[in-house]
Order: sequence, then C-alpha cells, then structure tokens
Amino acid sequence: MPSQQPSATDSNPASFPYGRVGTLLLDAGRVTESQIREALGETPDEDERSLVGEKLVQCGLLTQPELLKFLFDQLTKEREAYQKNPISEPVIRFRGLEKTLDGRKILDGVDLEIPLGKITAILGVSGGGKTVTLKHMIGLMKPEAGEVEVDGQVLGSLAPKELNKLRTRFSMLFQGGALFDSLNVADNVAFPLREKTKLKEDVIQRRVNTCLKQVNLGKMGFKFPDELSGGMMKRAALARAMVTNPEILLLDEPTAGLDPIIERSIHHLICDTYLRFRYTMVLISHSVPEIFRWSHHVVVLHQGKVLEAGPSIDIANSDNPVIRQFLTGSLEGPIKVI
Amino acid sequence: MFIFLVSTIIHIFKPPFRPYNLLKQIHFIGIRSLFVIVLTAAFAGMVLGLQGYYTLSRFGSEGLLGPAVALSIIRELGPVLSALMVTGRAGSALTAELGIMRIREQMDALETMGIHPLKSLLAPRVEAGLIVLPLLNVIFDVIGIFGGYLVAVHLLGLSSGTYFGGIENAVEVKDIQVGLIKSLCFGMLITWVCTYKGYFTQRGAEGVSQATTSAVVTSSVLVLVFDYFITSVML
Repeated sequence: MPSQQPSATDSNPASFPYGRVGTLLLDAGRVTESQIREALGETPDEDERSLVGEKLVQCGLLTQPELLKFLFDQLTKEREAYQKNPISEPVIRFRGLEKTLDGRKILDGVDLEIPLGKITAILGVSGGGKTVTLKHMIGLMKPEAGEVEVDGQVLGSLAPKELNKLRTRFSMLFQGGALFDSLNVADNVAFPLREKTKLKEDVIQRRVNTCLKQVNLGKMGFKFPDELSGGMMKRAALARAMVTNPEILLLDEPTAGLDPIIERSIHHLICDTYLRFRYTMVLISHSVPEIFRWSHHVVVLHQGKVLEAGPSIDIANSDNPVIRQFLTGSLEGPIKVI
Repeated sequence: MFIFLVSTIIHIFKPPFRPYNLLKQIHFIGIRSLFVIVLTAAFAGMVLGLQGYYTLSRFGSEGLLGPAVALSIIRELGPVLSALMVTGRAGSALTAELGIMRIREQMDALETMGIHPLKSLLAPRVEAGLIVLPLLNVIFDVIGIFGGYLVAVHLLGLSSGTYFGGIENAVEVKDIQVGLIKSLCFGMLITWVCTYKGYFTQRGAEGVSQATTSAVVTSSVLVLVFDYFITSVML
C-alpha cells in the first residue's frame, strides 16, 4: 500500500521493494502494484529495481516522456518543499577556505555548507574557483587556510588511509569525463569495482551493465572513449561515478559543451539518478537559468567568496546585481568581462 | 624528485599486487623495444668489428678483435645504447602517456577512487624498467657480438675460432656483472625520470611536449653521466 511505503529519502535501498522510482510512481497512482510486478518480474534484485522506470517503459505501461515528466515534477515538488523549509543537515562544510593558484587568490575565505541528500549547484563566472571548490571537497587540493569538513571529519587532519576511506563515499564526474583511454567503456565503469572491491567478475559485469543501462549506454560497453560523442562520454563517466553507489556525487560541468537537447537529457539523467539513489549531489554548471530548475540549493561564488547560498528558488529571485547579471547574461553590470 | 622515487619504490612492495599491470609494462617497455634493440646491437657490433679490425691490423693484432668487440659491448655499449634506445622509444611514450593522463584529470579520477597513481601507474613502470633493461642488455650483448662476428669472419676473413676463442679467454664474469649492474641502474634512472616528468606535467599539450622533451634529454644525459661514475667505481 502506498501509505505504508517508507520515506523517499530512506537511505536503505532494501526498504523499496519496487525501487525508489517505483515507489514514487505507486504513491502518485501512475501505476499499480501489479503493473510494477509485471514489469520487474517475480524476484527482482536491487539492480533491477533501480531500472523500474525503464522496465515500465519497455512493457508499454508508461512512455519515456511521461516518465521523464513525472520525475521532473517530483523534483520540482521537492525543490518547493525545500524552499519552504530549507533545513537539512550539512554533509560538507567549508570554513574560511583560502587557495591561491599561480599568484591569484581563487578562494578568499569561502564558508559554505552542502546539505545532505540534496542537489546543490555551484554557480559563478569562469575561472571563479568552482572546480577548485569541488576538488577541495574530496581532498584533491589542500587549502592554504581554513578547513573542509565532511561529516564532521576535517580532511586536513586525516591520514592518507583515512582520506582514502573517506573518498570511497564520494564519486566525481570530471569536466572532460576523465575516462581511461586504454579501456573500453565497460572496463572504465568496472575499474573502481575491480580495483577497490573483491566482487566476483560476474557480479561486476552485472552491475556495470545495469549502470550502463541507467545512462542509456547499454549497448556501448565495447566502445573506447575516443569513439564516443561528448554526451556519451559524460554519460559513461556518470555510470562510472555511480557504479560504486557513492553517498556524495560531485559533478563538474556535466553539460559543458553539449547541445541543448543533450544538455536537457543529462539534466533528466541527473534528476533520475537523484530520485533513484538519493545521493547528495554537488554540481557545477553554467546552464543558467536552466540549472535552477534542477537543483534544491544554489551557491553563488564571486571573487573568491560565497556571494549567496540558499534554496534555488530564492536565489533565482535574488535582487543581488551580480546574480541578476549572471541570470540574464547581460554584459552590463558589476561583472566586467571585457 | 628523490622523495618521488622512494615513494614509488615503497609502492612497489605495497599490496594489492597486480601482475597484469606489470606484465603489460614489461610488454610495452621490453618486448616492443626488442626490434630497435636487435637492430642497434647488430649494427653497433658490425661497426665495432670493422673499426676494430682496421685499428688492430695496424699493430698486427687482428686476433684480439673478438675480445675487443665483446668487452666494448658487454661493459659499455650494451648497457648504454640499450638504455638510450629504451629512453627514445619507451621513455618518451611513458612521459607522454602519464602527462596526458595528468592534464585530462585521469590521475585525479584515480585519486577520487582511493587509488594512488604512484601504486597503479608508476610503480609497475619502474618495476618493469628494472626487470627489462638487464634482459635487453643481455640480448644487445649477444646480437652485438654476433654482428662483430659477421663482419670479422664473413667479411674480413678472420677465423671464427680466433674470434670466439679470444672472447672466451678475455671476458670474465665480472665484466658481465658490470654490464648488468649498469643496465639495472639505467632501468631505474630512465623510468624514474620519465615517470616523474609525466606525473608533474602541467599546462596542456604544450606541457606534455615540454615534459617529453625534458624527460628524454634528462634521461639520456643522466645515463651517460652515471655510466662514467659506475665505470670509475667498478673498474
């Protein structure tokens, strides 16, 4: 019964016999329990449950646009609820972070909080320190001053082993994908599992196939990175980021350099991934104002500091001239580009 | 740079051990350098045969041609030339590959997965260099001596008994040890310099080209400098 279903943000996937997306569809009355059972089969495993949406589409019980619209509407509802009650425990916290690169102060006392289980977008002008901020979250860069805290653990105080252990809770999608050129897509996705787990090869293969299906690259596993388009590359990198079931997913410009249709499809994929797994997601994007529709929380970086941070709906309505200029893309305003 | 080497060597002995990665690097550095090593060795031996015969015949000492060719190759030319060939063929490729991985954030990707690039990328390359260079050196020595034999016996008319008999009498185990120690040192030197330059590549394609050039030049010069010092110590 829908009323007996656990909360959508429940961290245990086993609590969702029909997958999180299946539960949402059931709660909304879009499908019946018997239809979900028909789509999933008798004893679906966790991987199959995570593909419930695709399976319903395959069975003709939903169309792909209906599914995408449903998921987007779910995210919109959540974003509105977050705006009304923006209380969420921070999972990552920066305190007075400073970083200089090539003699230029990139971060100048950054204080920010990333809410747990939400999609946070970091916005700012190019070269404004967004990627540097992201790299500090996972300890790829060390600050000159200030500290980064993940779940109460200060990164700078961790021994290399502890830092590596903490990193297993993260995954990161890099701007260029950072797929390994010498491995095909399937091996790229399998790489973290082969290196960091003791899973059997058949289990790894199954998980890789599921992840590739989730990003609509089910039949592309044999291709090498140089044979992929920009959009496919990002999707393959997203599959690699998801394969380890991280708690925190960092996405560095997942839509940079893509046409508007692929960009929209990647945003849908991010929304879909979020609703399926409830990762804490932090993404950098220049897709303004589009990104405000896909994130709960927005942080605006300007001149090495956090200019504003809060629910995306509030930031979109901000009167701050820098944010207004950024939203409108106007050449006139406090941000001087020429 | 020294700390980098020490860290890499420590990672060689740290689990998990991935024999496949090591074999892949042995194939890349060793097997794929084989053709150029054989070719270089054959011609180096043939030139030594010609020059040696020309010089020794002035003093009526053609009978010493075999030992002259063998000792030159085993003690000097074998380790040095095989090291220089590996630097040019595999060292430059190592630097370029690692440099591209660095600028394309593939090394950062490894770190985010909790995998240290020193362990997964650099340690197998240094280890492969240590294994492969002495083996290539032995192959160089054998082919080089046969190159000298071809010229001395089949072109210049020296008897094969004189050529090989002289070698048997003149070459000692110590000479072979010197050659092997040199090639072991050069193996470490080349992979150390080339992986270091690749690992710390910066600034895009230009950075990769600078790192590659610098790696080849530095390795080649260091091979010759170290050759002098090792020779002077082991004479």
